[in-house]
Amino acid sequence: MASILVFGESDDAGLTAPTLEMLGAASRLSGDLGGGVALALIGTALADAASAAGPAGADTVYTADSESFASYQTDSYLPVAQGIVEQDSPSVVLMSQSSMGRDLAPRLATRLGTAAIMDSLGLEVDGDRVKATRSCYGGNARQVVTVQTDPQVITVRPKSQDPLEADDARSPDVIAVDVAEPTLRARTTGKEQAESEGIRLEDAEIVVSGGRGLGGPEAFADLESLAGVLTAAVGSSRAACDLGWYPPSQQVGLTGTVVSPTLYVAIAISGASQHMAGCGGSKNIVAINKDPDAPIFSFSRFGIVDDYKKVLPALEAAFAEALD
Amino acid sequence: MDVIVCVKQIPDPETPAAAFKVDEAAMQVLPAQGISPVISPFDAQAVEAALRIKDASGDGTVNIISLGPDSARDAIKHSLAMGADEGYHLKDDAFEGGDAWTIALALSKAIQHLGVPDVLIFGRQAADWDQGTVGSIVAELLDLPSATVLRAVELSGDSITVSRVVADGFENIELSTPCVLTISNEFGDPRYPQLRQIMQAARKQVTELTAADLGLDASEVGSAGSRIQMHALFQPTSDVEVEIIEGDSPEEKAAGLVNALREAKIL
Amino acid sequence: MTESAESKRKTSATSTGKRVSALAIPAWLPLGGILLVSGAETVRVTGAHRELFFNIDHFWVLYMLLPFVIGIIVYGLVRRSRVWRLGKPSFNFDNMPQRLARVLKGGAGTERVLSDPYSGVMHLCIMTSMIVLFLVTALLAIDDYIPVDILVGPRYLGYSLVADIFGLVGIVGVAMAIAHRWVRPRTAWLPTWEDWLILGGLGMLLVTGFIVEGLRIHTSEIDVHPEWSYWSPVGYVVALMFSGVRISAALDIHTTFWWIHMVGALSWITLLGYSKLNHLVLAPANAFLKRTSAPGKLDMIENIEEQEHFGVSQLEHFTMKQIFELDVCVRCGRCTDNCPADIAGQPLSPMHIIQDLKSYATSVGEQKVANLVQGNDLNFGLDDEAPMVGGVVRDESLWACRTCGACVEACPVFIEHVPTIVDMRRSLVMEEARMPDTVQGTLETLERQGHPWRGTPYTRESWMEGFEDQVPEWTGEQDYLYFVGCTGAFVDRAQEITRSVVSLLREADVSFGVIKGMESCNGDPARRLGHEYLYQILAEGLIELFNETGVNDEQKTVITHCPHCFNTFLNEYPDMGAKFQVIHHTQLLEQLVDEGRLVPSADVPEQTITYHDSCYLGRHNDIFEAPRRILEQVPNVTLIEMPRNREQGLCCGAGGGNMWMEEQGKSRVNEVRVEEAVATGAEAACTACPFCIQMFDSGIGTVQLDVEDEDKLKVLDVAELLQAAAVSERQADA
Repeated sequence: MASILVFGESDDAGLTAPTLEMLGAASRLSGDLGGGVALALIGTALADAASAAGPAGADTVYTADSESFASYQTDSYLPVAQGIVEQDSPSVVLMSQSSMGRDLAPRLATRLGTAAIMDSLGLEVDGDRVKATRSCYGGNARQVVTVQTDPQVITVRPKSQDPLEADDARSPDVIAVDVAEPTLRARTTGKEQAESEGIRLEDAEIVVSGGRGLGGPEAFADLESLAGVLTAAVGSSRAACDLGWYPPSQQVGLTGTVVSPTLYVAIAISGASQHMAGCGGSKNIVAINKDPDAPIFSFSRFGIVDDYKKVLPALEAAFAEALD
Repeated sequence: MDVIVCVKQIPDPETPAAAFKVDEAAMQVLPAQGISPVISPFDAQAVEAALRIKDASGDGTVNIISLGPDSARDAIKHSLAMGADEGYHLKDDAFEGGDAWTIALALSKAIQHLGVPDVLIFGRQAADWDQGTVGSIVAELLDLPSATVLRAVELSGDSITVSRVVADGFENIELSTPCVLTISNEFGDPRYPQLRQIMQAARKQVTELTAADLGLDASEVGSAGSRIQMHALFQPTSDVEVEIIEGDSPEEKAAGLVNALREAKIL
Repeated sequence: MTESAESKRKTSATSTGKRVSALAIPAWLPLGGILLVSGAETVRVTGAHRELFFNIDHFWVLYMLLPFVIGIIVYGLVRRSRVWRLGKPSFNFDNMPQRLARVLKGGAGTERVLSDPYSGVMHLCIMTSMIVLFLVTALLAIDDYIPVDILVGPRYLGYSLVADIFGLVGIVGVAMAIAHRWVRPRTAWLPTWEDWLILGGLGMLLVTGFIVEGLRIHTSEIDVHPEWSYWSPVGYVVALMFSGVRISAALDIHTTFWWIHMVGALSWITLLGYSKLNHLVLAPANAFLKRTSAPGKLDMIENIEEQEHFGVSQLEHFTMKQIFELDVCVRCGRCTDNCPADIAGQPLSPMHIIQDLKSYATSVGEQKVANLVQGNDLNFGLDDEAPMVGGVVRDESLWACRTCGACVEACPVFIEHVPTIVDMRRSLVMEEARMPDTVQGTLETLERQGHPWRGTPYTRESWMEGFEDQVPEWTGEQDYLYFVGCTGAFVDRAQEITRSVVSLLREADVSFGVIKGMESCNGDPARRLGHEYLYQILAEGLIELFNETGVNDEQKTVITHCPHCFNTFLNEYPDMGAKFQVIHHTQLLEQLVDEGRLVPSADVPEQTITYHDSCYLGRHNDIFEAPRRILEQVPNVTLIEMPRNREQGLCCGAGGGNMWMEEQGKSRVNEVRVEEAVATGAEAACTACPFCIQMFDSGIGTVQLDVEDEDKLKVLDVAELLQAAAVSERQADA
């Protein structure tokens, strides 16, 4: 019996980074709550991922391994997830604020007679409750909330928590869950890969991002060229995506991808809260904007006040020289 | 094909940060001077999706439900102006202070009261609390299949084909009806209402429903029935002090920035 | 304030128009000379005359034809008038003196035609020739029917010379018109059958006239009274060309040509009812019908909530005058030549809009008339026709319009393109809700936040941050309300203008105040974008605020630094119940400098400045000189002009709501204008409009991309320059 059950996700490379981060958070919280940390994995070919869960902080691993779980589907994942929670009866259920967590958490919570807090940025124990701090009003405000019913379902924003140092000495109990064939009322008929090439936004150490102030789609070619020098990913504000200047998959912001790279270079981005909700977690923000009063500067560590058209070529040359 | 869309009236999410103020003691957002509340933009897109389904199917209705104080009428009226058929306003003091759960509970009762339609559509999240759970809770309460965060919705015979936004692209999903959908901003801009429809919508009767009409006890809804409790609401402060890199030419500024990044060991 | 704008209207009348209309005088000079010489010749040529209907039998046929000809013309015009009458009656006969003066100067006097030298001369040649030849013919007939002989002796010879000269002038004019159509560099409006029929016909009439005259001289005059025939120099030359022809044959040829000439003339004149030759009658009529209100004013839709349609989507939604003036257009192309959108290669040609609507009025309009006559539904049988708005006139053309009024200013036949375009926009926005995304965003922001600047990080008070205490709050006691407006509050660059204006008003101790935080948009952007309903809602709201705060009073004056706010307050708000006076900051600042309350004495750097006219300040409200006079009084400033200035000023590209649109087309209007400013060699461009400033700034970003910052064109509001020169250090520091 665990105090915290983490619904993890895995891909070809094993457990995903948000899963490791949640296990780290769960280990810290379980110290105050008492009880252990369990990881639930639903998917196919989970053996490697399951064995990596111990070093990452899990005491128990539930695996629901079936071809029918190859891709996330509400109807197929929900009964299995419900079964695991009922088997484990945790006081807290954590999921990542991912495509899966977003969809599964509220339905699972409702089925369990409880509620879900979405997209938490910070977690702390208060008695038997976990207080979650989350962003609301498009990033303009923060609220601190608790779930008053059990289990407390919470989704966690990627990169908001730190993973544990891997400890290979730990090996968890692995429990394979019985899988019943669910009735599917919805089925996946295909998948389209996003158009973007190169480094994935959420994985990049450096992100170069452009906004409406670029004035047109052509400018993204210059951003890509700078990104090439920096080995960075290219992002875009929602305004620029909505104008069709850059693919929606590269949108950084509240409703796009949330990134927290070491360095976020915001070019001709004003810094609306909607956008800051997607990049505010970056370790360092550098802003290039010709408007000295642009809000982006109040979030930035360094800034250049100038027209990006002039700065960009110079900057690319300077970086190229420095990194050579 | 009959559709119900659930919408919410919220403070304008385009309120400039400088005008956004929070009353921390009351845990409330203060209305900004001269800025009217609006229908949550994702909900307006949900109405757009519903109208397109109605157009494509050639018949059926698009009905609107909104739970909230008097101002919720405006969200309903806006949806009617866009082309929806009837509006229902869940209005009761008992609903006040509710969370996603109590709102979804009341909405699901109202939907059952009106008859479960072929498709139920929500915005992916209300742009005030940004939780994004009401659609899924209603789907669960009504035991319907659901697909969330959609950028496209198409009618194919009796079923619905949708494109769902996921981390690395899009998933195409086919759902049987009745089902629940939530619409994301990638769906595209909602239509701008025609003046004639705005005027017709202004005259149109909106049906009000109370908790009692829906067979709900005051203890089940509003703050009494809530499962999530708020402890604080505040505005985040940024503690970063920006260092503006000065220089006489773009080259100098660029070099200065690279230097600064190096000294700060960021590069 | 209207009076002051009116007086400026007079002082600033364009010089170009006058200069060219002076051309008319030399054209009439020969007349006087001829009369003088013929007087001197009196003795030698006593008895000179000509026989009417020489060599012609059955000339009464002509008189029989005349009623038919008149009937045919009248039938054509009446038939056409049934299409005009599909429109809504809206004729307004206010301000008769102005209307009549316009008919005389602009209609009969062709004042505007003359503003283009080549076509001005061409038109003057044809017009004077036709008038003189008509009078000449009429005089001959009169002479025949009155007992006294007028046309004898020297009078006859002078008469004959005048007729010959003006026949020749007519040929020159027709030749110029034909050459114009061959060599004109622009092919956008290639001539049609009408042009060739009218010009070819007229040329033929003039040539056959001379042939007939030459044959008459050859057969009856040259041998008897050769000294008479010198007074018909062209006819004399033609007579010499026929000198080898036997008299009997020549008489036959004469008869033939006489009939060709006469029947031709009568046939040609019927074109008056069926072609653009109708401008002889319709252009002066349109000069009369053109509204007398300020050109920047749009008409209000009264009782908008009870309307069956909003704006114009069908021919019958236009007013009669709007349909009528489609027929007045002569396809001269001046509107399009002056249209900023067309100059920048964008999809709008005002002439083509008028011409396309004219064709539509011909095909669909006449079908509608037939439906009415037959008692059918108005739109019977018209289901397959392309829609007028979106089909005949494309959406992108309607959106590309800056409402700058350059077309209206240039049109020699007084067509008002802008209200017609905005009427169709109204239907796009209110009827069909079909508009560019950015327009939708702007309208939504206006509805929700009371300003058009979507995505602004500022509030209404942001501009006064740090010196709130220096900005006097409006109490209702002060003389002037400074209306900051949305751009002055929500756009960072314009906030600087706002601060400059406040600082100047303080320096001059003007009694003024600002309604802090409570202002809202006066509705101008909504109105130009076609959302009349939203305009009226915003305007009602603002008037209510002005009523509550004591601004709406004849004793109070509203200052605005935005020409768009200015135009709306001055010309359009009276319809909404406004009583207050309105002044543009440049007018007030000029006054303050004149009175010595602002002394531009500080040593500002020596600089050459070109002044860019805002359309809504200049062309629409005739304020050309106030800003220039301020600039002239700033020390070390040399003012130079761009080739297109004052009435001919080119729009910055932002007018008509284009401030909030993505431009479609070859280039951007602001870049064209910035290039013109840069070409003057000026170091700075000054203007008096916060939209122009932004458009210049962004235009310079592209046009002068590779120019070093310090060498780039600077862009300043007149108030900013004046502040640098006239505000004391003490206050500048504060």
